[in-house]
Amino acid sequence: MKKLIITSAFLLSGIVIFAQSNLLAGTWNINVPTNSDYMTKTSFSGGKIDYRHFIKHSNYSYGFALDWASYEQYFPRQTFQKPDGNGAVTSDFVAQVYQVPIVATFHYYFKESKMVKPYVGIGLGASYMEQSLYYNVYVSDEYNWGFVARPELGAIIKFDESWGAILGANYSIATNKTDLLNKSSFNSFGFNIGLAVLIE
Amino acid sequence: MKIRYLLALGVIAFVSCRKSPDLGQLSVAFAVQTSKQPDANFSSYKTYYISDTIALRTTDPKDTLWFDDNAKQLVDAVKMNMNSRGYTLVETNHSSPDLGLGLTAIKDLNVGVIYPGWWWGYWGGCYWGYCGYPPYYPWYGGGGIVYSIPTGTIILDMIDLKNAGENQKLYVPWGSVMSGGLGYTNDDIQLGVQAIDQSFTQSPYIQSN
Repeated sequence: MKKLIITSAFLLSGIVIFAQSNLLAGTWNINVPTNSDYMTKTSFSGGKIDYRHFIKHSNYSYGFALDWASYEQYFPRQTFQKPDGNGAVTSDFVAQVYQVPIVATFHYYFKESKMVKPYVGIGLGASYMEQSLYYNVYVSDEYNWGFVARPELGAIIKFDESWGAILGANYSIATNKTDLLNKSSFNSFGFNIGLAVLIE
Repeated sequence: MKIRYLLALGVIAFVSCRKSPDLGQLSVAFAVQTSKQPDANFSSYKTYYISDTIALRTTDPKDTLWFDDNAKQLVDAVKMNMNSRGYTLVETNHSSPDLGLGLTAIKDLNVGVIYPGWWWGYWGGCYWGYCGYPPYYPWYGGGGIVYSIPTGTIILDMIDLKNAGENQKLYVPWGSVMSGGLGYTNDDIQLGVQAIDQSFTQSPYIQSN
């Protein structure tokens, strides 16, 4: 029970768990959408659980990451013409996007100094997305899955041999569609910071 | 064991992380959704008729017509827009108008997924003097289905009466679903009038010439 409380406290405070052969990290994520003609407001509500297994006698690791990000933006009243010209919708609305990418990761680590271990990597996988448009007193929902590719770079800052901090940046390209607004992708820049623990 | 606890906690954290949206900034103006048939030819029609009463769909089955001053304001808004697009109002439904305009208001009634024409309440009956003719609707959204018709909605249908006999169906070249707070606010009739105006504004192709 005591262990559980301690580990819970670490995770909830955004700590990464990090060991000699396996690393487990929890980060706080900030995401900046780049679909500039639609959602542009930065999301500060996001996080990630990142697990990496270091391949022995090499500079590589593989693993998986589960992210989540919640976006929200108000759009003033405007008219959306359907592309075929046979319909139009006029309203103001609040758009909310909740994205959960689950990716397999592969990382390469550069030569490390005493404290800093820089890396580059890529995550490939699936992106679940819920998109809601709230207008007047109503809501339209759309749920779908897409493919996501996410190149990233960052660094692990080691406090000692058993834990440290992790900093990263990435660009996420997801093929999730928004039929209501005729969009075929949702892309974003992401920045994350957190703590990690090493596990044997 | 430590990893298992962490993953479990992670799942809890992620499930609880979705924010509730801030809806305080949304306006009370009606959301206006218009749709037209791809092959509609609006210049082939010259005259129209609209009743001074509005069909009402509520939880009370006796409550079928709405004909007070408020209803008249909504009907007048349709007339003004149709006249400005070059169409001529005829005196009665028996004067062989090319188009029939019908307003329906849905109050105190929440409905889920429905098909256009549901609000006519006419299936198998008579509508615009035609009995048993199926309605033929433009597509709303992508699937021919209006996803919800919540309370406070105004619907405006434009029906082709000119060719109804020949077509054996009530072709609807254009329609508007206006979702708002009818019955909630003091100025909702004015908002309804604005919604009707907006329906025509976003449909510039409705022209008699």
